[in-house]
Amino acid sequence: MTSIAVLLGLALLVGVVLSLAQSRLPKDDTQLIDAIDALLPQTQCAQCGYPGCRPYAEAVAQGAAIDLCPPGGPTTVAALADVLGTATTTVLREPVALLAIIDETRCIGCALCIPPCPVDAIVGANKYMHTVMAEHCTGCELCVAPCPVDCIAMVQVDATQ
Amino acid sequence: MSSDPTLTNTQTLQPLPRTQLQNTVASRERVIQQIQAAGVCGLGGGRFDTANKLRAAAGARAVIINGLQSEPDNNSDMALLQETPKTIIAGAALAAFCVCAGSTADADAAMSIVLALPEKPALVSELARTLQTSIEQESAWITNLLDRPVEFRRVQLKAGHASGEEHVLAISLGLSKEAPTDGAPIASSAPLTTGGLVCINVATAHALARAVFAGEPLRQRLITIHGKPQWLDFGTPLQTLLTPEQTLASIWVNGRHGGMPASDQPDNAQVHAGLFCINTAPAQPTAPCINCSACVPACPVGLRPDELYRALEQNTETAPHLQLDACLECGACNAVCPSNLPLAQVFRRARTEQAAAMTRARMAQKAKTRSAARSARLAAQGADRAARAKERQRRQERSKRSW
Repeated sequence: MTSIAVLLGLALLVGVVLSLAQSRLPKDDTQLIDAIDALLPQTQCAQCGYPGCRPYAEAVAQGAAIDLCPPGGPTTVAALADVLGTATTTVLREPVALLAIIDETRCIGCALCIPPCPVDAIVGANKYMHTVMAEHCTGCELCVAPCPVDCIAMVQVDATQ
Repeated sequence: MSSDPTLTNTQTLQPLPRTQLQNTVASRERVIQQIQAAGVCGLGGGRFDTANKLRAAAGARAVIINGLQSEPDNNSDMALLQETPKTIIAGAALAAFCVCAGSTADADAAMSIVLALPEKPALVSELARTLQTSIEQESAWITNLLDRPVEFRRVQLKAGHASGEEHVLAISLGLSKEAPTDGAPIASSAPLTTGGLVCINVATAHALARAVFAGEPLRQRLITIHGKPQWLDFGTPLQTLLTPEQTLASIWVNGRHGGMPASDQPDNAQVHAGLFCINTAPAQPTAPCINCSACVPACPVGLRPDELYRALEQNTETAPHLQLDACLECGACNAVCPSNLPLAQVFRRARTEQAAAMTRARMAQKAKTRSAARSARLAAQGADRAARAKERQRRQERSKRSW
């Protein structure tokens, strides 16, 4: 009789401690965020409204919409839906791979395009010509708007190369 | 600097006569530079840089001249052998020179030059005499030059699908130890340079000899068009080779088994160094896969084409144990398929897609690293600025107090 009471008491105690721990301790969802981040295209374009892919992954883990990533397109949405078990009805357009190219004859060397680049792919200094390092450019288009002379063009790249 | 043996791209190619060749490392390097400057590349379809291949194969003890044509529609190599046997033997000797001239390690070891030819009695017996004469003429020169015994061998092999693939060829000649064990596929898709072997195509041997002895850059090749060999310049649009009723999609390049429609050519449908034959499109699939597994023993690298095909058709991730990477795209499976399934084409497409996905993943990883580095740098700059502002404030307050 006592043994039953002891065991019951123990079970109760452990149950209370565990439920308290779950509600009080900070949630650890880095694994989920990592998994979501791995599915994103890493263009760091901020078109989703978050400052980059990692912040968007964090937001998605907290329940943000999964169809906000245009460079990922329908493939990314499907993959995210798979991981999170959510459904979505929005249909994104198939993305095209882009690359920024600076028309160097028109560049005035204002350096305004350099800070927005999320991957430091633009080299140049004040009053010197700038150029985009093609192998690092993610095609995020963040450098296009700041250019005062509109010398940055986005060109389509062949995804198979 | 006339004594400088190096070549630059701005110089025009000059013939390098045989009398200038010496059994030294410098002379060998000069010849390899000439080959590089002439733009010689593997004409068996791979287009590997021949100069680099020969450099990588330094110290090889056997040169295989590959005259086996895996594709039944292709007879360019045989035609070239008949047309210019002497040039090809000279090219073989040059390849031997490029891998062993000037090397002092086991200087007495024999160099063997193997001519691998298909088993076609009529063709080969006719060729045998001319080849033998050429070999006799060339062997004295190359033996003298290399100062070691040079052994020429003519080997006739049963030509079948993928028999001309260099790894497969080396194994069937008994020269490679890379033979598949326990049914494991041979790791392939890189040129064969290890194991003391170097394998070059007949057309490449011809181009080598022309590049060195005639100072002629590689700018044309022999292409079999509907069974007839024809010399064509690189860059010739395939459109100009069509009859009025043909379209680029209805003709097939590089053989009915391992090839593709001309409209799928990556080089804007032009003649290029990796193109060896043009023919009409092969038969269309007649039935779905009937699970006969005839393709399994046909695969030269021991893959399971049936399982691969099914996995790819179901659009599932190809299981890593199926080893799509090891596929040579030779089309041996196409040849035996009773349903005429375009297996090799399916595998090629899947491999292209996989490669593109891998490139994307690599780019994404790189962008992630760079973005994280940038965030860290900006955070550090921000912290630094805040610290300095705080310091300034503290100093101002102190100076106020001291007043």
